[in-house]
Amino acid sequence: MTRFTYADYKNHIRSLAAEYGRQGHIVGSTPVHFLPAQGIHSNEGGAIRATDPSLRFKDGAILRLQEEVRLVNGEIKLLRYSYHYERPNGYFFRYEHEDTTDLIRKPAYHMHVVFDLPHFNASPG
Amino acid sequence: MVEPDFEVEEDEMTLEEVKAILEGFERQYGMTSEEFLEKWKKGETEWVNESVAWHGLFEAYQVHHSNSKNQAPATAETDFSIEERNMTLDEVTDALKKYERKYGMISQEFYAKWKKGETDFVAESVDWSLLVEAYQIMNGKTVS
Repeated sequence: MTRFTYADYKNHIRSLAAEYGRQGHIVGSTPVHFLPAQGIHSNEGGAIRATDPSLRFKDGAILRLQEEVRLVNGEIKLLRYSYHYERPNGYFFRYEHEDTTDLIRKPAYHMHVVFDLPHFNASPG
Repeated sequence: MVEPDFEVEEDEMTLEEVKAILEGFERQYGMTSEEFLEKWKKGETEWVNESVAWHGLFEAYQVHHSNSKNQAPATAETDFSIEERNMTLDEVTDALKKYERKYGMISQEFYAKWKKGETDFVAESVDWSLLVEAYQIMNGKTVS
């Protein structure tokens, strides 16, 4: 059985960005930044951030993303994430996964559409 | 052969045509398209009969206007690059300061609130919390 490494996952993200760039869907300088994450050895995971500046699509829309990733038994687990897509006219949606203290008001997996509240329930991504 | 008594015109509108219609809406309702959009997002445009059309056309105008401004002679391949690296401590600190200025609180305070689920007003709470934790790891100190 093939076991993935964190380096493989980083390569996967890099390849996705390169492919969408090659096809002309995203334009400009695309940041893919890495950060250490709490309680995770640097070989087993970390945080990935494409935020400042955002990924820019050819129609002017943007995507900001952050992920906290950990390798567990050769599988990538997304411990925390935020994917914020926004059009030039201000319309946005944002899928997020983070710890919660109130499962009803704010499900651990949730999404926002146009407004920051409420937190709509969303399937794990 | 019976000729159809109507035909559908499917020509694409030009940017100038869209702009002219938007200007018509702006004159009719006495506000700019940007002002209309702000009100539309808040659900305050029920009195605008053409709100769907206005919103759609303004969205199309922004996309095409943006495209026409961004059109560069370079191909898609040359207009794209990946800037990949580990963030430095200085960059993390700058990113934290940006959020601290935006929300008027220090990162330590934000993080304590985030842990208690009290940061609904922070749209970037995932990013901010990850930056706080990275700062702590990289610096070995409490965020100030």
